Amino acid sequence: MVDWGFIFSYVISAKALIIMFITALYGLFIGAMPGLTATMAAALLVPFAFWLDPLSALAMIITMDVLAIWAGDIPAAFVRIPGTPASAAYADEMYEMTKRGKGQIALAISLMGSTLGGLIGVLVLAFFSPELAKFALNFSSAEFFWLVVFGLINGVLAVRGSPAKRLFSLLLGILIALVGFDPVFFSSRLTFGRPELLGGLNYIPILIGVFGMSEVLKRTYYKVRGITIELPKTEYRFSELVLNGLRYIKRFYNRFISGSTIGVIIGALPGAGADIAAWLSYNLSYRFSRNKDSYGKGSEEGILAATSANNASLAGAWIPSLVFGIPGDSVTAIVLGVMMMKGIIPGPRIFIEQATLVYSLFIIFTVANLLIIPLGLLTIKFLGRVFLRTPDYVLVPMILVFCVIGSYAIDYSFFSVLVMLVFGVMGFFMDRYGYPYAPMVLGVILGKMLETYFVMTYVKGGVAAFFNRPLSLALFALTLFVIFAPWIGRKVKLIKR
Amino acid sequence: MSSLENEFKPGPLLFSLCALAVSIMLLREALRVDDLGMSWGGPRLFPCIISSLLFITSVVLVLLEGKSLLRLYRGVAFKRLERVKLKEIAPVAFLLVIIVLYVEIIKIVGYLIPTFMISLYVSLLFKARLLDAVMISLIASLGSMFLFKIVLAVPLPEGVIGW
Repeated sequence: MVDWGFIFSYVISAKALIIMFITALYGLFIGAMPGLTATMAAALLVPFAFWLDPLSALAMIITMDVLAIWAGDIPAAFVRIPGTPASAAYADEMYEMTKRGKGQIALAISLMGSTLGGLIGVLVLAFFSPELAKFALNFSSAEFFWLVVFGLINGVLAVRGSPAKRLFSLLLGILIALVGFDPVFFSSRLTFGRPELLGGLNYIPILIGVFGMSEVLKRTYYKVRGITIELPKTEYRFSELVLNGLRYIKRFYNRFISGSTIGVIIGALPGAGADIAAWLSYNLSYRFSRNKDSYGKGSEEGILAATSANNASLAGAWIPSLVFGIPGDSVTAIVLGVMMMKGIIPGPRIFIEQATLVYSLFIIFTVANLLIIPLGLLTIKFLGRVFLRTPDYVLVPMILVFCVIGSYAIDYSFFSVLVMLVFGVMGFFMDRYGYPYAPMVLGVILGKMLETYFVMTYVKGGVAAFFNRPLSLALFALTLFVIFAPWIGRKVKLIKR
Repeated sequence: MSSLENEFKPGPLLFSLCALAVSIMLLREALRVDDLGMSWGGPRLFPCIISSLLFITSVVLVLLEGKSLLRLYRGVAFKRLERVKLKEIAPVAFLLVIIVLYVEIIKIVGYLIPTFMISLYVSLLFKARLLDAVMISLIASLGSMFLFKIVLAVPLPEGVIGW
């Protein structure tokens, strides 16, 4: 029996509101700082969770997570550095909009997309948790393998440039992800005899290097050549930001719906998180868009598809966690630890035995998503002004310091700083010679997962194991369809004529 | 055909050759992975597949970029070597050296002073006035130290000075 009286009295209590407000600000800060992740922020909250009641402890992590994932878009929009990996997929699109004087609008789109996408995620979590969890459990290693291949193929197809350069970038990214111990047999590979590489390469310093450090080098190079990057200092009123955000949702409602759906489904799959949801949704929106030309030049459509997916996936990640006790992403893995610490046992019976707690979580999720709007609008106005009016001689040293310290903070190692520098130089030259780095970043994020599912499936029954289940065959067919869709479309048009 | 299309720029070809060198190194490393006695390749299989594909792709890239070299050889293209103006590339290379030195010095001296120095250098490189550059560097070093060391409890290197 759900005690709604308790739920509402808790949510409007001063204690809950103060906790949510403080952790919302904390989430905004963490998200806006390149190198600091929501997972790290959640881990830092665990000692506080120890002193709080279960509901407040979970409210704290939920609010931080929701705000941090949105706030990752802020540095992406103004300096082209994603604050969290979940914003990497569309960082270029947001920065392109800023170059056109529409940086604040880009953030307004992401604000409304994230809020409404997050709310859709909560609705699905509230009404369809058991069904979605059962569906997710049908995924064997073969289905996961094809899902990852599907994501990677879309990543290659969604960027411009020479197909060979795109493929090279992707394959290089996958190989970078393979450095270190192999996840199935635990044998070392691709380490060139360097012991530092045995643990593998963390993808956060790579992201900071490719997006942040390369920007520092590019701006230095431009400065020396006398080229100045002048960003238009257009500012918008609060009402304009809200109306524009809603206008684009109305205009691209199909992208918003598909993005939120992809987000919830990807979130519900164990191990897949907001970053994968955003990449997949962005890439699919490009593939099926009628305005392909706008992509890469600041596409509102692409931003909306990806932002609605990454925030929708946050609620989705709670589905396997609550129903089966299997973490949906790294943050819910920490949440599960907190739940155990508080004596809450996740499982199908949690909906009956701890119904009040579960429904309180849904309401907290809703409030946390709604908190994005006021706090986000204030942040857009304030940080927008700061970033747009800050000259390069202030911004570049700051970016440099944050690139170094952000990489160091991942594992307190200077090796990560070195990795960041190497990838910064690589990003600089890749950009110069037309090698898109988005496929490489996607390969780095998904490479290890791809290998794990490849080996697990191959061990089961060789090549046949990849195709002998209906769901894996369907995903394989979907991958082929996405590759050949434009060709099929042209043929259909010709036949119709 | 415009004159730009007839130009031969060595940069892309050189970069594709670097890509080929990287792919050969990775393929060599992949082939050296222990197969743990498994007939199907075990842990070696997947890295070998991906690195072979990378090698093939990089060969294609070299061939594609090399087409412009062939046009130059046949006299269709004219040579416009991207003269690397030392004046343009030196500050970028120098900045990289400075950053590497900064990372090394930070371990010995501690976080604060090297961070102040590098911020000052970059700020001046971007033509800030000295007083502005000093202020920016103070804010960057002290501000980041406060945020990371005090707020987020990140153990920043203390070095011999202690901060």
